[in-house]
Amino acid sequence: MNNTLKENVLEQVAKICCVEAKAPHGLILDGIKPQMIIYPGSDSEVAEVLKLAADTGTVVGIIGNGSKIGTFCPLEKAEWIISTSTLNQLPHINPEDLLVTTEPGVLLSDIQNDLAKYGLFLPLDGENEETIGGILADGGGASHRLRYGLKKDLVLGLSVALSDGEIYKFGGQTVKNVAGYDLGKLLIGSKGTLGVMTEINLRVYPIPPATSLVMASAGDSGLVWKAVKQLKRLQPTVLEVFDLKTAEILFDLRSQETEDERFNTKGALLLVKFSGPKPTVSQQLLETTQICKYCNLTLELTLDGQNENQVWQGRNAFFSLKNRAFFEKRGLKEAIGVKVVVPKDKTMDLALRLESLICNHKLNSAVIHQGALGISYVYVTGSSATDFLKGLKTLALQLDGSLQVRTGPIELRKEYGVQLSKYGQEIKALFDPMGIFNLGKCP
Amino acid sequence: MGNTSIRERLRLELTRIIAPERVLHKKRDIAVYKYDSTPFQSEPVLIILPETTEEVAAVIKFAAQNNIPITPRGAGTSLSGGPIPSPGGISMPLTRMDKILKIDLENEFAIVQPGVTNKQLQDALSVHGYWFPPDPASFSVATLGGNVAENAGGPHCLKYGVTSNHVMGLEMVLSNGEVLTLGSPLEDTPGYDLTGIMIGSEGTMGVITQIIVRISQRPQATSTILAIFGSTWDAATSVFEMIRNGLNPSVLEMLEERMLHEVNTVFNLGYPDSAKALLIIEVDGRPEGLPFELDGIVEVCRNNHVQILEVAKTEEERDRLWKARRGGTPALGRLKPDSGENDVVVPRSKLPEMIEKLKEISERNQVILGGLFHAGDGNCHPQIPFDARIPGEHEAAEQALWEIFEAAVSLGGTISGEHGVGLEKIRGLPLVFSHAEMELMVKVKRVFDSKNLLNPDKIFPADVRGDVKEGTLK
Repeated sequence: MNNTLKENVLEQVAKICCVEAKAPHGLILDGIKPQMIIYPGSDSEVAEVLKLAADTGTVVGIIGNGSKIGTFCPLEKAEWIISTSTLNQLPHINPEDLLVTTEPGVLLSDIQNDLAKYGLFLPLDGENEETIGGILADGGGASHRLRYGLKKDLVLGLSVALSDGEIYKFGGQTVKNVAGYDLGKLLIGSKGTLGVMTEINLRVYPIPPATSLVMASAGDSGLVWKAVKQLKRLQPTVLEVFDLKTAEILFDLRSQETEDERFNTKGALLLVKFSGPKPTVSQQLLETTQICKYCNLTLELTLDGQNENQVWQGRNAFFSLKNRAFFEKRGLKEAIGVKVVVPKDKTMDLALRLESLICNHKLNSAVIHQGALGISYVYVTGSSATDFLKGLKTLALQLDGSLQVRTGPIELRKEYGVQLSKYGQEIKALFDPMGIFNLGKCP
Repeated sequence: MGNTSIRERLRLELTRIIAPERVLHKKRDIAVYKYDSTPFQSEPVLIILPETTEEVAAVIKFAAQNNIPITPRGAGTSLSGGPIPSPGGISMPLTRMDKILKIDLENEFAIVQPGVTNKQLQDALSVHGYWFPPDPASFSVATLGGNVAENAGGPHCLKYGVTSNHVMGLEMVLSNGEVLTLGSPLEDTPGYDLTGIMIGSEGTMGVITQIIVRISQRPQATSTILAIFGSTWDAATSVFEMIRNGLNPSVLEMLEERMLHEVNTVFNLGYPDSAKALLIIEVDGRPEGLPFELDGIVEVCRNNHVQILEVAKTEEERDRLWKARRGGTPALGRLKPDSGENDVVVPRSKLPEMIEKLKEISERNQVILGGLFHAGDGNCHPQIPFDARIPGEHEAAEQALWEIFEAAVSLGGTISGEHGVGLEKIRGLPLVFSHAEMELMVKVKRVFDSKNLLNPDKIFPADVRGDVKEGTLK
């Protein structure tokens, strides 16, 4: 776009909403420096800007606060950035209907604080600066998904602005709703490639009457996985397995260890949580401690109704893209982050073979396995990290699974990324005919 | 060329693709397949009973070449007209595709063909201590293909969710004959949630030929409570208070005053005249947790002036308590030879207001109106018995049903919670969606049904379907 046209467009955008003519604080997203960052203050401003972008063939990047841009498939081009962080009107909570209606730019932490006043919560994880829109656009599930389902299961309805300058509303305010097609489902996990959510109706839950949580570890990871197999039968709310060193750092379980001990990849720790009526949760806790004892695990922590905040802060630090404290401590500053998915019954197989693979490649690493789901998150750093990646992909495929690079160098995120299916491309073409939304990102 | 000649020509050509005994054309067959469980009817040109995905694809390709619409069908238990054959079209019951292909307990999924009934799957899972939570009332005959097409709910969906929360993937045949695989038994399949938009699409985007369902461990124990109130307001208030207080009932059904009166009379249940509303509440889970939940529920009911509380201690007692709930629809329906109903849904806190509006609608239109509610999720089944032979009764019933749509939407709800739009609610869809929103939905349909062959007359008003041009947004 030449300078004259650019100024005209800038004027037009400035008439619509607040604009910063140059990227503030040197904002760079996946190596891209946008020409400007736009902060719409309402759904109609979003729609107008999108129409202007489509009419002028301008490629736009859509973000909340941008915490997800450095993950999975990289952004390839973005002339403007549209941030929904200013679409952040106070959420409306309807406690009788277990419903919250929110704009996408509201921080998850703010919603949770508001919900807590009513004894309610959203079963989602997020760092302090993560917006609800960004979390939903990222898709998938959260730590408590075994009990509460996926992010898409929490969304009852939403409004979305598309590039024709219109706002479309899908779904509603009720869990049961079969009027028309549920097109809102397309937006969850779409990575901002179809349009901009402008309002979302979310199902919330009462804080459960009781919870219990156990952490137990062993130097022999096989023993931990033996316990995991039995714990699955108890229908936990959360069941995760960490490599032992990572767990020790995340949950501050040990005093300072030596440099050598930091890089020891052996051993694992399981974290299991139950929620529900107090008698049930107490019984589940009892059975868990019995299982752990039977499997010769060391009980590291037991919480029976006590505050779990520190546990979740620790756990969520593993996924933090902004708070680097965990990565620094673990020696993973320039790590490659990978998401592996295998059939649930092959999670242990993956975990134990992964442990060996990491050891063989002499890598520093951190691992979380979602023990009942077949999902694993791995960080590695070291000179043979790229060879390791090839080996891990082969392993994942052998186990009938798949692998994506979640964080790390752009070239690797592209190489180990995903492509849109044929009908995915057609849906993309329908919603974004000019192909201007989050170019390069792929759900 | 008359209909019979067309039918015969098509039959001869199709019997080259499908075994002749599965190409039905006789009058008696046409007569059976022109109905579903609504008063709508339309004669199909032929009925094809495929047994494999390949046969489905072959029939669809043939239909596409000859521009013949296709209406997929399960057991025909639909209450919205979805399986009614499109004019000049082929009816394609999937009931011969009735195999459970795989049950994988370790990975907690099953793969089924669309003609498997919900009950068939439940029975196969139950011996292993597993179940598939969506269990609509028609579960003993309704097929899983139909359940997916309608995003079926059922009494347990309050706690366990609807069909879309339990389907991981689909195999479908599109109108160009392509076999499309969506989702997988693995978690977090990349890509847009195309499985999600297919669920509840009422056979308008593809013919489902396989379903990957998520299965889970059955609850170990269940307790059932019956609660009778002197006002529907108290009963409805109890409903949302229970849920708001963090109690987690698995079933929460309500009968309002008129229906309760009829069921009490017909089945001689002995409830007092002051009984104006009935709740059936179930809690389930591990046995040690049930007393805690029961105590909480009893407290809420007592705070809302409950008159009678019964807790079932045996399976026989549970059956007795459920008698009222199961008998509601036939008891009210016996008053007149015909019946209209719908399945609007409102936010549960609006239930008391909705019940008041139903009373007003009944009085204004001079119709008998009773109701059964899946109260926990705000799903209402108002029922209007009428006699079509009496001048004005049918019209009054239709007007009342229309006003019920309007009332539900005005309270923040929608026109259908579980039965689907089909034919019955096409006129109500514009109450919920703008023209542009419906157009976008039709454009999405055309992505998958490029030939506009699959149930083309369902869901969307004719003016929306006609307006939509191929391609992209405006």
